[in-house]
Amino acid sequence: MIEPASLAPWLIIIPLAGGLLAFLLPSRSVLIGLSATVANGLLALAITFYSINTIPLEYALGGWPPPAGILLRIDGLTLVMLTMTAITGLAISIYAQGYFPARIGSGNGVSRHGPQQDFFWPLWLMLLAGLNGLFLAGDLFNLYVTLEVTALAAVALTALSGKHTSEVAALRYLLVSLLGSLSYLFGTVLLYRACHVLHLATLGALIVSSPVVWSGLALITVGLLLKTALFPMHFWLPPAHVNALTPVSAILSALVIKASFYLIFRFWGDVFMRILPLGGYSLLGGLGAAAVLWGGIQALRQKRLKMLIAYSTVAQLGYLFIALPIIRHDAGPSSRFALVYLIISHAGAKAAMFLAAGNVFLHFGHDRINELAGVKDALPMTSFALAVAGVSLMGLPPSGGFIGKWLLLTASFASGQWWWGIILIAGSLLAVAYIYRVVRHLFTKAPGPSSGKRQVARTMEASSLFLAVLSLVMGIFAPLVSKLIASDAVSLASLLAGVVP
Amino acid sequence: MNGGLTGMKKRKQSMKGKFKRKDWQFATLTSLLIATLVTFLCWAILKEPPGEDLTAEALAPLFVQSGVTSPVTAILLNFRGYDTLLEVMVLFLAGLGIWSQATVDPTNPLVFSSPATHPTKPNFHGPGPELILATLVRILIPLMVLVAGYLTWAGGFQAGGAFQGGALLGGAGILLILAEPQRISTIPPALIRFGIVLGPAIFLLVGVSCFGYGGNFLQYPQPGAGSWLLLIEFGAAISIGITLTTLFVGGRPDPKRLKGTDQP
Repeated sequence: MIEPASLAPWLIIIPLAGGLLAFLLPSRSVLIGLSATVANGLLALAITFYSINTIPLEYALGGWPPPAGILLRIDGLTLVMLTMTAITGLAISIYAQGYFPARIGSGNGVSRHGPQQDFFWPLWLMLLAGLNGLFLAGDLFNLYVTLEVTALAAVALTALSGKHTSEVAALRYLLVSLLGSLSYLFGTVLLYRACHVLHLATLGALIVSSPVVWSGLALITVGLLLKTALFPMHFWLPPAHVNALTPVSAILSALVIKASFYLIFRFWGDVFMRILPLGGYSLLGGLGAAAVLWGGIQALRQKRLKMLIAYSTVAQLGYLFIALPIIRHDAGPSSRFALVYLIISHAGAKAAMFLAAGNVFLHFGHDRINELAGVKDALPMTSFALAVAGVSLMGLPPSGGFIGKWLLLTASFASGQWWWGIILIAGSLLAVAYIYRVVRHLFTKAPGPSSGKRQVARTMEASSLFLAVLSLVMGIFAPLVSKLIASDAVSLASLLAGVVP
Repeated sequence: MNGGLTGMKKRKQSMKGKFKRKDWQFATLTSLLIATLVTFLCWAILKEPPGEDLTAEALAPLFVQSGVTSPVTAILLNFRGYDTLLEVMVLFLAGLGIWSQATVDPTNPLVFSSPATHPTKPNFHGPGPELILATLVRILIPLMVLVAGYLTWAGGFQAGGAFQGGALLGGAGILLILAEPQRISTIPPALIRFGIVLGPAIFLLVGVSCFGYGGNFLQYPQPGAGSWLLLIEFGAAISIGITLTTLFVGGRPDPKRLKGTDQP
């Protein structure tokens, strides 16, 4: 029997080693990148499989228990996030393996797209290490370091396309992200001054309300909100996500955004829930509601498919914040489960949509929504993927999006917060409208003969369809996910009671 | 033509004025917000004394087991070695990110594009200002490397360590590039890549090899943790130095330009 906690550090070691190797041997970067993401996927599944009955688990790095050392911590939420990252990341990697050769092979060739491929893999593997480290971290300062790894890799990936627009977007993303990180670090310093511990669970138990603690928590939250692009701090997101290379857009929208949201959920949903004010939850929920409406309306107005998808991300992030006040007032684990379901189904659906949009762009050389007629004939799998992912974003049954929204709706009415329910319904109607704008054109016949420029590899279409279908049938994993989330309830209860672990 | 130009100029100026007023309002608003924030933070911090530091008491008996006598190094590389491993990776990422964005002419990394602006190659044997530069560099570089090595080693028992030593090595590298830019072209890019990766790779390998001694990740075998830490520090210092130098250069050497030039 394998000790499951001892597998945890390999989730960081493998991507780090892969990243170093892929940089050292650029000619082998594709092979190294694919093997590392496959190994990472298998490892994440193995850890989930072995530890499902024994969570929460802890792993003392360097053999030092806190307060001297740093712990990795595995609980149900961590396992869900790790598995989501591993599977989505693997599908995106398989897509990228076909994407770069397709661009290298076409026209303006090796000189520009060759280096992009060589640098994509090490950067993506470092990003993967940062994400895994962030989900595993059980230490307030270690979280800052993993945030830095994630942010730097994400910014470099954003700028990788080399276009002027993406460089400008990446620089803005860098500045916003740095501001967010520094604000987080400042908050960490203040919390450390008050409590003198960095271990999250101990900190959550020791912490008492005081002006310094409020300031620290406020700084940490604002920093993370900037990185999560919650309305009205979403201004940097659409240009950064749209102008990046296709696999990068998918990684940023499906995974990187979730990392900083995961921390907000971690802090507001368990570690500091005991002392955070109710008004704060309502404020976050209110901003989330504004994001749902604003993002939905902006998505309706866009002319380009990728822009529409990016504004849909702004809107979908809103749902996640609406869930926070509902969780605060809901005693049972069902609203918590609903939020986790929204996170993972959005990851699958949004990555699928960006990959599919990338296929359309690669084949037709544009992604203007009004000229999408004929996609069905040229790229049948891609158009099917777009439609299926759209179903999940709208929240129709049996998709993961449906389960999340339905549970949230029930919980909002049950806890007497019907206004959040109304926003959820309004947001879904907006989603139906903007997805319909795309699907309407997808399934019409092209007016003339197909004007395709490039062949799109089968693997590229298949990986997009795989993610879309996965987010559609996510309902079959519901027992597993609910078991993982329910097992967090025990440690949550002791944390809320203020027991020092 | 002329009238059009002045017209454009005028419009530009008027736009400039508009922007200026807006900028000014924006600046006032931001300053007020920041001032409020700073005042509140100062009030909050002054209002209460720092909490009771139980961590320091708990840590005190552990320093003996860390393998080094300097408490900073003990925390940095042993207790919280995982943080430092990731920080070393952050520096690697900074280098990687810059290499992914920009290329430089390897025959003259200080001149970003046109080969026409190459400065004349310094004459290291004749008299003149180059002689002073060359002599200075010849004396300074070995000294800097020596001091960097000492600083890195001294980190085990006093102030110093990989980051300080690496910063000094980086300074030496920058000086070398400023003095003799053309020499850099003779270093194969693969070797530079190796130098950048060396330190992070050693750190990671040491961490993994701790599994072989039955410990956790980064749990250095006892006794003798000190020598493992020294190995990590020297690897990290070398790579930090090389990475800082490449950050100064600001891009990866472009192999196409190397072929295209008529360098001897």
